Amino acid sequence: MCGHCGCSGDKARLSTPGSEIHRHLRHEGDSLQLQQALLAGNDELARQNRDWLTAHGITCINLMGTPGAGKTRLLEATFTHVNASRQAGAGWPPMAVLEGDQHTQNDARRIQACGGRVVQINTGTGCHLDAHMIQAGLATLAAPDGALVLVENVGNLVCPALFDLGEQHRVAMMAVTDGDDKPEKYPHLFAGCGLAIINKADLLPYLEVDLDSIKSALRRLNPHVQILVLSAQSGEGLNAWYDWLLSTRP
Amino acid sequence: MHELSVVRALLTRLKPYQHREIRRITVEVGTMSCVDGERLQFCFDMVKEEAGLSGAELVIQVVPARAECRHCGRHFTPDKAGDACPCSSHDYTLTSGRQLLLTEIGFG
Repeated sequence: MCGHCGCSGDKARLSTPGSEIHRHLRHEGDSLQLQQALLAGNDELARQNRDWLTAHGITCINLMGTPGAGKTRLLEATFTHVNASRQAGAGWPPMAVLEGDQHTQNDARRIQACGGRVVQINTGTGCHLDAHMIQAGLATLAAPDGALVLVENVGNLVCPALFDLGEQHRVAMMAVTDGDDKPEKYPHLFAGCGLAIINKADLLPYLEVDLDSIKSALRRLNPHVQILVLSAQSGEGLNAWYDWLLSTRP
Repeated sequence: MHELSVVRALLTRLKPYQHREIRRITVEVGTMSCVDGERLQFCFDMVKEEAGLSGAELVIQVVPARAECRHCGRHFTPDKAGDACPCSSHDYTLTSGRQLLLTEIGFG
């Protein structure tokens, strides 16, 4: 008996070494029984991306979050900090950004203005980045070996969660202005991340936000998640973010 | 609406079989897969004619989640993400519920 789908083990199966996906060549009347992952095409490209990143010693971080969570602002602050640190003699790996948005090069321009290597990916009608876009983006970005590549996904707490890009790390970002119950309303994205960032902490004195309730919800969805509360605007809590970034290096 | 991307992926999977008349397409959608069955149906109905599948029906089989608790070892069925094991722990592995599979093609 097949452990994957419960079919009879005496039927022919096709599979690839290392793959959980298999096809059954079993005809029953006028129907064909299969076990094909719908997103196998994307997942295969993601695997290629991951292999390529590993071969080049590049760490790729998929930064996802609400529109307006402050993802681009965090990247601006990061590049400004890294450039200043380098001038002061501190070591940072080379860094680059893939910017995902439906339209405009606005965010790519903002990163470029901070001295960052960047490629904009416009998804047109698309609501998320996929592995094919990242493959093309990485080829154009041409980040040097050993680099840290930050992917800013399309601002959306739903669709990006489904698509493996080949990244090694997933970060989910929200702002205190988004409301206490964002993680519970959009559980998949927060459940699938290694790090959750709660931004705009500088606004806490002006809002009725229960930070502990956000943290509890995050831990219910994802007991091993790391949580950072910070303000990309004021700089509060950013050192922990920089430490986390450096900790992702192989 | 990422369900449209899922439908596009489904159409790619169906291409090798479209020399025959496809009447029924069965997919399994796990409750933790991040895909909404009704939206998937809506997106499929929107594009099926253009894809040469006007005579095809999409059958969506929703697969409930199953989990194994890392704390007490129990197997249980969470209704939604973030639900606790009966022992109150949230630390568990999903053994089912994330699938997004094409499982059957019925021909006319």
